[in-house]
Amino acid sequence: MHATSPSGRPLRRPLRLAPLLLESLARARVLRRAPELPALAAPGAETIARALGVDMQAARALAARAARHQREVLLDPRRAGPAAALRRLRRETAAGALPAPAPDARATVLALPLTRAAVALVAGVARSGRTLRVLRTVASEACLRPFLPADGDARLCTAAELLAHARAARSGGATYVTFPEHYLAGGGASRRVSFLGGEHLFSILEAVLLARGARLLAADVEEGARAPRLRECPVGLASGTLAAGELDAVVGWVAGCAQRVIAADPAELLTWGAVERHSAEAVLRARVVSLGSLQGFLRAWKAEGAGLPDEVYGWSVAELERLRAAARAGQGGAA
Amino acid sequence: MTGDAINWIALLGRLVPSARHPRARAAAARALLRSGWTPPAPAARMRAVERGLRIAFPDAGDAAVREMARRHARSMVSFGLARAVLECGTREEVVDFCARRVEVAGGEHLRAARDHAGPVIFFSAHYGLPALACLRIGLELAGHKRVNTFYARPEDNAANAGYQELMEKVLPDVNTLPGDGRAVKAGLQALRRGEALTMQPDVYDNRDGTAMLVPFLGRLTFAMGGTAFFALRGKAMLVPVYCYDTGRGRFQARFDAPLPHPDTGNLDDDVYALTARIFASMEAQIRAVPEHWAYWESLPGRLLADVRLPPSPAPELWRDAFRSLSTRCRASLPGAEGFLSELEARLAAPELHP
Repeated sequence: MHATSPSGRPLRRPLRLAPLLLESLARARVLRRAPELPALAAPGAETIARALGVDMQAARALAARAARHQREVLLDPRRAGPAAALRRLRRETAAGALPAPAPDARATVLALPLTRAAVALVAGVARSGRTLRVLRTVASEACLRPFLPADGDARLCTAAELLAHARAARSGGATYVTFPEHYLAGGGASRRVSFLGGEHLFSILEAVLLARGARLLAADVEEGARAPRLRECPVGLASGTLAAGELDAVVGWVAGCAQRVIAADPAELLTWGAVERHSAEAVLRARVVSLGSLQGFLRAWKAEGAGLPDEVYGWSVAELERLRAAARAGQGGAA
Repeated sequence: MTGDAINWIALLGRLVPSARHPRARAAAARALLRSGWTPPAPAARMRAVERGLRIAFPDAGDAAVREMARRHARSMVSFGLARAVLECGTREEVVDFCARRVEVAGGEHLRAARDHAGPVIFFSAHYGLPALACLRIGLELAGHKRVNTFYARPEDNAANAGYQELMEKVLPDVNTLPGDGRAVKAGLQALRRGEALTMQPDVYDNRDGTAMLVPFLGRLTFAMGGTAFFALRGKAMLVPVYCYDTGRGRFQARFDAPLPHPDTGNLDDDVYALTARIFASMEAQIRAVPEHWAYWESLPGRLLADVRLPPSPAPELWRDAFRSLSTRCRASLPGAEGFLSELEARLAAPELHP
C-alpha cells in the first residue's frame, strides 16, 4: 500500500519513502541518545564462535545482529509504545513466530530461550487476558516489562513466587514462562548439562513444575527446519514425584531444545551475555572471586586497624583459603 | 583560520605514526610534543574516562571530572608522541632526550638503589611513560647493575610493540623478559645475581581465581602478587618510580622511598601485605596527579564493583559494609552459608561491641 497525499493521490516515490526514512531517522536518534538502557550484556563474538564452532568473522556478524535486536527490543516499546513495538516485532519475526499454546485445564509451562519470537509470544499471551507468570531475571525484566499490561493478570515473579502460585489451587489454566538458557538457580537447584560446546548449569525449575502437574512445553526446532515450534516434554513421570533419572532427563530435554533454537538462528537470542556467565566454569570462577572478595575485604579491614579481632580474622582467613582452594579444584568447597 | 591550522596539525598528527622515514617521524613527533597540541578525543572514550574518574573521585563535581578527563586525553597524546620520539630516534638522540628532557626527583632514592649491594626492583604503574623511566634507570645504573625489564608480549598487549627494540637499542646490556613462566625463573635468577628488575604490577585484570583483591581507589581491585613475591623471595629493595609529562615535552622521573617489607613469618600474608603497599603507593600517585594513569577507561572492569571500602577506620562502618558484602556473596556461594553465618555471629558477639 502506498502513502497518499491529503488529496488522496499516491505520492511520488521519494515522498512515499519519506515516512520510512523519518521512522528510520527517529529510531537511529533514539538508539544514539539512549545507548545504555537496562542492561543486557552485549553478545561476545568469542562466546558465539566457541559455542557454535563458527569462525570469528561469522561470529562477529552474528554478534552485531544480536546486539541490534537487543537494542530494538529494549528501545522500541519506549519509543513507539508497546502496541506498535509488538506489531513490528510480529512483522519481523513472522517467519519464526511461536504460536500461543491452546488453553488447557492444567497449568502450562513455556520454557523459552529469550528470543524476539519469545518476546512476541509472551506479549501476545499477556494481552489475551490469561493468567501469566513470567520468571523475573534482569533480561526478562528489561525486555518484557513494557509488554505486560498493568491491568491484566500478567506479571513478572521470582522462581519462589512462581512455585507458590503453581502450588495454589488457582493455578489451573495459568501460563508460566521460564528462560532456561539464562536463569541460574541458587542453592543447588541446578544440574550440569552439556550445552553449546561446554558444561552449563540449568535450573530444575521446569522439572519441578512438571512434577507438580503442569504440562511442559519448550520451544524447539525440528531437524532441517529453521523456525521454532512448541513441543511437549516427552518425559513421562512414573509418579507425582521426580526420581533422579527423571529429573536429569527433563533438564537435559529442556537444554537440548534451547540449544537447537539458539543454533537455528543465533542472532535471535537476546541473552548471549548470560550464556557465557552460566557456564559451569564461569560459575566456579564467580565463586572463587566471591570468596576472594570476602578475603580481600577482611584483610583490608584488618590492615585499617578498624576493630577486627585477631582470632576472628585468623579463623576466617584460614576458612576462606580452604574454601577457595576447594573451589579452584572444582569441588565446590561446602563448609 | 584557527580551524584550518588545527586541521593541518591533525593531519600531520595522523601522518606521524605512518611516516616511512623514522627521522622525519621523530622530528614531527618532537615538534608536536613541544607544541603541547592535543587532538580532540572521541566522545565515547571521554565518557568512559569520566566514569572511571567518578569512581575514584566521587566527591568531585562534573566540571572537575571533565577537566581531569581533558587533561588525561592530552597526557595520553603526549606519551604517544614521546614514544614515537624514543622509538624513531637514534641511540644518541634518545640518550640526549633522557638526559636533557627528563628531570629526576627523589634522586637520593635512585642513588641509594644504585649503590645498594643487593637486588633492586623498580616498580611503576601504567602511569606516564614507564619506558622512559626504565631507560633513565638503565642509564643511571650502567656499570653498577644490569637492568632486567618485564613486559607483556606485543601479541598480548599491542601497546608494547617496539618496547623490546627500544630497550635493546639504548641499553646494550638490558635483559627484556616477556611475562611468562620462563621470565619468572629468569627474574628470580637476576635478583639472585643482585641485578635490577623493572615491573608494572597494575596490568592485571585476572579473575580466574589466582588474583588477590587489594584496596585501590576506595574499592578492591584484582592484583597479582608477582612483584611482592619477587621482592620477598629475592630480598630486593622495592622502589616506586613514576615518570610523567610536566609540559612542553619535558618529563619528570620521580623516585620514592623504598617500601618496607612486612615480616609476619607467613609468606602468603607477606605477599598480600606488600602487594597492598604497592597498590597504596600507586594510588597515592594516581590521586595526586590523576591524568597520567592509562587505565581510567577500563577502571570499572578492574574493580570489584559492589564492594566499597569504608572511608574511615570506624569499626561499625566496616561491620556494616561486611554484612552487606556477605549478603551479596551468599547467592554465589552455595555451601558456604554455614561459614558466613558463623562469621557474622562471631562479628556480632557482644564483646566486640563495648
